[in-house]
Amino acid sequence: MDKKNRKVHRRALTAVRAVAVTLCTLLILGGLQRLVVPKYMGDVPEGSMTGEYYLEMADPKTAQHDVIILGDCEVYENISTETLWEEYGIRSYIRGNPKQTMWQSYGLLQETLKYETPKVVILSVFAMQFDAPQSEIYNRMMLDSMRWSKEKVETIRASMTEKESFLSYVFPVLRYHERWNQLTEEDFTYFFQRPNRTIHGYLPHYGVKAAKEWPQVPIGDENFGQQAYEYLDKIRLLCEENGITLILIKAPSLYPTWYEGYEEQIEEYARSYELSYYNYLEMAEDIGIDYSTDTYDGGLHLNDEGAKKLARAIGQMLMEKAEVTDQRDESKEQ
Amino acid sequence: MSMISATFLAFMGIALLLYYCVPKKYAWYILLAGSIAFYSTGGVYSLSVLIFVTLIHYGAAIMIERWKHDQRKLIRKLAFTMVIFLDAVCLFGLKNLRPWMSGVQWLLPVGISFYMLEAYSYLMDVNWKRFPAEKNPLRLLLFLSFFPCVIQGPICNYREMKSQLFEGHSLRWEDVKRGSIRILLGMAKKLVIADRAAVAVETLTGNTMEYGGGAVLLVMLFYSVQLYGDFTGGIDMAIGAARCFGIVLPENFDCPYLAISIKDYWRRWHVTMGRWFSNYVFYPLSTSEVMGMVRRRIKNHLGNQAARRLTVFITTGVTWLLIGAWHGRGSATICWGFLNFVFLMVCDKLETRRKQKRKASDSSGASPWIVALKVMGTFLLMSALRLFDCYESAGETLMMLGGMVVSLIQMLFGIQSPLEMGWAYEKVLPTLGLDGWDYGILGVGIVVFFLFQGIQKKTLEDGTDTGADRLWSWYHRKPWLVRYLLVLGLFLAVLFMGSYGIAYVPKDFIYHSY
Repeated sequence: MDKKNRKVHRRALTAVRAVAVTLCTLLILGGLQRLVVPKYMGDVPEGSMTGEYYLEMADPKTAQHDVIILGDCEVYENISTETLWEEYGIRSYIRGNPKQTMWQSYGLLQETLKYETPKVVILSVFAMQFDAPQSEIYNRMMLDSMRWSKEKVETIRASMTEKESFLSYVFPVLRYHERWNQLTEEDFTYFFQRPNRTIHGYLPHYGVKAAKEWPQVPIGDENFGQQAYEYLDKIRLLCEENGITLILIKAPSLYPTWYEGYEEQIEEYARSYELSYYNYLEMAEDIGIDYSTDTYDGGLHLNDEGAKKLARAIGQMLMEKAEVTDQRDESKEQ
Repeated sequence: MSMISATFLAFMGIALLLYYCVPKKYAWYILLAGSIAFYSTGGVYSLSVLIFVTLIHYGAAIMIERWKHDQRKLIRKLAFTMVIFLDAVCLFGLKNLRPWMSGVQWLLPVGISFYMLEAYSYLMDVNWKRFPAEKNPLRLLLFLSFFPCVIQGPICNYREMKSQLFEGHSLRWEDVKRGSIRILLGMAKKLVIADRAAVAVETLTGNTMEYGGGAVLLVMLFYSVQLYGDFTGGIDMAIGAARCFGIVLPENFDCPYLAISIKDYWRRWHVTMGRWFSNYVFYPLSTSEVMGMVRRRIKNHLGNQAARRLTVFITTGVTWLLIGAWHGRGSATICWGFLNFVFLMVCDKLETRRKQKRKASDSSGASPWIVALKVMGTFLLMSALRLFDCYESAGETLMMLGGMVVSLIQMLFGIQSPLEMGWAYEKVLPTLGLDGWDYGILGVGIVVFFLFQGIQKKTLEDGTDTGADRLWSWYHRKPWLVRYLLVLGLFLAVLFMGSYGIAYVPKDFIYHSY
């Protein structure tokens, strides 16, 4: 081999080595990052809920929904999507996360519209009381499993608390790096894939704990903030643009308190834009909610029995007011 | 802008890209723009002080040069006095003339920042005609504000930096690689070691009532680890960042914790500060007219040898008091400077005697055990002196140190139990805010960095001189796979074991505010 060939050979070897080293490093870093990110397969399944939607949409049998429900635990623990389907033939999905704010609901709605266009969007108005980023932990639960898109970037920016950095969403290892010494079997078992923990976004609880008296702590200002209104407007406009019926609801959770001032503002908003608004907290008795048997945590959330009752009320309302049709026969034909 | 941040890494990336893209002739403008941008993140006021100081020293140097053939020394002295006065006014303003400044705290602003020392060295070198005064104020501004070393050194002089800063460099993979690895090493020292040890130090010094007696020894040890990781880590990052631009900064440390005496320690710790005080305080003072006069007077009364010794004694004392004052914590650091001076003098005396004895007995070399004992003794002595950094005041430090000695005596004589006197470390360690993993990481980290020091101290045959060069030589001789695994290991250590992120309170470098 002459001198020139040797030089070319050496350069080629260096290039191959550089590529191999880069790939190997990326593989190691990617693998380790995946390992330390929480899997939410244990007692706290809420962190995987955003991601579960993609699994549902990947299956052609479940990839179309008539109703999308947006909100926090007041919807994903209180409305049984199973009952909506079994008793009314309504294909629904709850895109909910813990303490989901209005801007997060908006981000999820924008994303949902990339996959499908539902007939109805039901929005829980409970989050209207939050006008600023709430909690880093809940942000991570909602955003970590969301697919990268323009909507995710905007939602992260709107949701970040003061101490958070955008970079830690791009590289979650920067957030969870200290978990290396807290890894459990769960982290290895669900390294590649995580199964669904919810039923179309509904997270059932089967225990019973009768409701108790919750304190009614007065607050100084019951007015909703500007940012909350801004995103409620955005959700309304987005629904209008896509020909979707927007329905506002307040779920029958006893606590945190739903103040009179809140109720008046939502009623006023619904009246102004001719939206339907249902306060199931006020209608709890009419729809058959029994707080001594239908809640699993003393009235904060409903158990499966309570969620079925609320789902029946919503199903009835959707059939009557939103003209959603029973899809069960169509499903059988398919 | 903190050097431990994604913003800094992005800033470095952009600066490097621009630096190597523009023609070499203009590359220094990129460094200047970058340095100003970097410094301005500390606030417009800090930047304006820096610019003001630059202009004062620039103007003064021009004036001094203009009068260099003039014999009117008085005018030159007046120029110096004016400079010091204006600097002091500037820095007093910076500290907002805090009303609580009392006692010797008025000394705080005198030369408190690293760039101020560089500015004085520039002025004095021009005065001593070591190089001509800089005609372009922007070049002087770059020298004083060069971003890798403006935060915490190393303290450079204009002569060694001039050609490097302004000549521009071609992109050399070797420089970028070496610089990047050095930055990574610095981050590891800071985030994995120093910030972890800082948690224990904060707990121990935040509650002196609970952590007295034997726990003071823990403060000494943890703070030594913290300071080493923090300061050498910061300097590693500075040297590494400059190296990426092809600029070689002077080394600031040379295995300080392997020093065998306090004198040896100060040859190895904060080398550029020692060099500055030697060159610009100790030697000028030794050869000054005032000291000459003092020497003559003493000589007349006590003889030549006593005069020589006493003048060395006085100049060393003044130098150390100034070093103490420069460290900026008032009486605590002045006391620290004074004690360093005392121990240095004692050490010097003992060394002279030992040398004389050795000459007499003609014995050569000390046994490794003796060397190990000396290293340990020096480490403990310096750790004890560093306590002046940890506690609120000099009085409290002396009280805590005294308490430790008394408790040790009481424990040894069975007057008090170890538990009562804070010597029962199995009870103290779990309360310091660190868990078993943290202690494990600290332990492994300390062992690894001692091994590095061992490599740095071992002389190689290739003629490289500094400890960092020796370490690089050692690294470079390894097969590429070993090199890759070493760097990957270091990176993973920083990534996974570093004290950063939302669960941690970010900690500035200890010398950051100087």
